[in-house]
Amino acid sequence: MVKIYITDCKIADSCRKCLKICPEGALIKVPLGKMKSSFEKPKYTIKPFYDRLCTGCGKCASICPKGAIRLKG
Amino acid sequence: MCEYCSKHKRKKWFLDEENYKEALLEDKKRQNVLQKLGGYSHEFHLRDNTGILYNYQTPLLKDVIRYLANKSLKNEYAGQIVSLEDALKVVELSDNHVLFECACRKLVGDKTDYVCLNFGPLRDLIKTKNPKEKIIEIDTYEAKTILKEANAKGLYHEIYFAKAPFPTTLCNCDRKYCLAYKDRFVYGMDKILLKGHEVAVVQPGKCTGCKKCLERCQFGSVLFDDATEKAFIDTTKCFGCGLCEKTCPANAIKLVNRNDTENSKGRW
Repeated sequence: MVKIYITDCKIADSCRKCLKICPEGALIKVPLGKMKSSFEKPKYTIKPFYDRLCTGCGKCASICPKGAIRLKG
Repeated sequence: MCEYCSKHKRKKWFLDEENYKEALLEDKKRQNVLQKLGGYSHEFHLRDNTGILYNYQTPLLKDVIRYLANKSLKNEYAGQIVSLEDALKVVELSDNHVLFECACRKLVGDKTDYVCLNFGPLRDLIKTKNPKEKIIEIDTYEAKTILKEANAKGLYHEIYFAKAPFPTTLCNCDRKYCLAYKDRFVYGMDKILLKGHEVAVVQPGKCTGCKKCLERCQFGSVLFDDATEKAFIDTTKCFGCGLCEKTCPANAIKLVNRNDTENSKGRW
């Protein structure tokens, strides 16, 4: 199984390139911090919640402008 | 009939007009679920629930968490696959049709797509709670057109309830984006996406071996027999979405009742 290591890139809200390029949909944008109200837009980070779907193609690691993604396995 | 269908009525829960009545809105637990829908609460819910499954990968703990989560979904927000015919009937039984931006696509693929068909109390709820949110109000004719177009593109349909069995949403999904699909297949959250009431069956006499059904199936249940050069369906895996049936140029596939086939009986 491929292990995906993602460090907080701090630009997840505006960049989102890794999300768009992953062909299997293994990466997901999750909100940071506590939920203040249902409709106040939160800040996000990227987490590999569905890393079981990862085929190890490496497109996310290549496209990340901050080099925040590392694959192992 | 699945666990959400009323046993003595023999109607599918989303085709039973009793389940659309406003009286069901008085239920406190249901009101709670409806208040949590819309806005960004969806995303926090995902982080906190799927997040737990992701972080706690040790075998025993994972099983306990999954068991508890599956148990609670009946009182929350979960869905079931439906065929296009049933989805069109749901549009006729419901009102206040409105399209939202698909939350799953925003979180996974970062796509903006108004394919999330909501009805009933959700339209007014979003308008009062978040008037800035962009929604598209439509009539039943437009709703049916959207469903047919989505089906032609190869998206399967799911019906969601806000505390079973009150239907609120019809999704048009793709396994690449659909979070319910991923939660079921990656984390074993069976109750978040129930299989449909039917399974597909190929009539070998009509099959021409073109393999179009093979390409279309999102659940990996269509297989090809190289010896006979015909497609066949693994009914233990089939979700009954009907995409193969609609795409077959020879009309060789049909949907039959899940409980009529030994392999698929009782498998949800």
